[in-house]
Amino acid sequence: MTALNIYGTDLPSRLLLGSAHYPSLQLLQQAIAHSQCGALTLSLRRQAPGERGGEAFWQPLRELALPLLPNTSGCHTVAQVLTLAQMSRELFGTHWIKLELTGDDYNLQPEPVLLLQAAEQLLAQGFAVLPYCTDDLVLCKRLYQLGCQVLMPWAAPIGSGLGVLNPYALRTLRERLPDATLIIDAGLGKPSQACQVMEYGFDAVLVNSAVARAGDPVQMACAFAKAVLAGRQAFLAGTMASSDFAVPSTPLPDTPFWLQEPI
Amino acid sequence: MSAITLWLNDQPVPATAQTLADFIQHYPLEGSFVLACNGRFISREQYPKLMLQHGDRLELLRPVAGG
Repeated sequence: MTALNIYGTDLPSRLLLGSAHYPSLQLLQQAIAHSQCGALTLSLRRQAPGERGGEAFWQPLRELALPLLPNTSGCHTVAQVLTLAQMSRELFGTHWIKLELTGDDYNLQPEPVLLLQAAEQLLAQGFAVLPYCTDDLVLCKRLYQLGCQVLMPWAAPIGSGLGVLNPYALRTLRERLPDATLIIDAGLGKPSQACQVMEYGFDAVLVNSAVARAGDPVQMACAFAKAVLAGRQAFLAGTMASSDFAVPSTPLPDTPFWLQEPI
Repeated sequence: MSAITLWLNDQPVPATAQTLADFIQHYPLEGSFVLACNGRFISREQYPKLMLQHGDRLELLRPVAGG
């Protein structure tokens, strides 16, 4: 199975993890280690007292030598995105940026018009942009045409755990953007849902809350890793065509004559 | 030099430093951080050159968990 390639870098896994909401830093570290995730998202903030962050958070993760994907979470304007992305590039030492630009605070839906503007400017400044976006086909096409090689459409709003709300939209994205790297970013709550989108042919999955808020985050991270792998293998294998009528698994020609009467 | 007031993450901070590099050295600011001044990112290379003005708003950010 070929590795997932993000802007020229091969990732060891098609499961990406977010680093927020874990009960402890130790559980985050164990989830990373046991799932062997391909990359980790994180962010920059003013560090409030008692908040997980700063050196105690950063140094242990830095030592993992895991690919890092900083986000621009919390930004509502293009200017905010650009400043935060530049700050992230310096501190985290990566030109990867997960572009988040919120258009509505209720469902944290990305602002599509500003998202395009921000993506264009970030690309012009040399960033490898991974925009968090909805499953809107035209928006995704525009982002891809701008030069975003990787798109991160939602399955459902961030942190909702609702799973795939619009299977048609996601399958259409895969169909219409066959060369884009598509990573499902948000809304997955269960490993089966990760497997589902990987079966559609998505390239990877990023999960945070589904793992961090599980009863046992380490076990859940492992479950997601296996589900992602299973979904990918199923996609590569090619699923059978479904039909509306039954097709017997056991050959009919040698059925005993007394069982051959139609029902 | 007379003291000026800077705003660091919305908190007033008296300072006598002329440059951002001086301010960081004397405040002191430690660990991993990045700075913006008046909404603009300031790279580390710019710290010695950035002349501070009364009322400048500094934003200091550190790594945190994120999804």
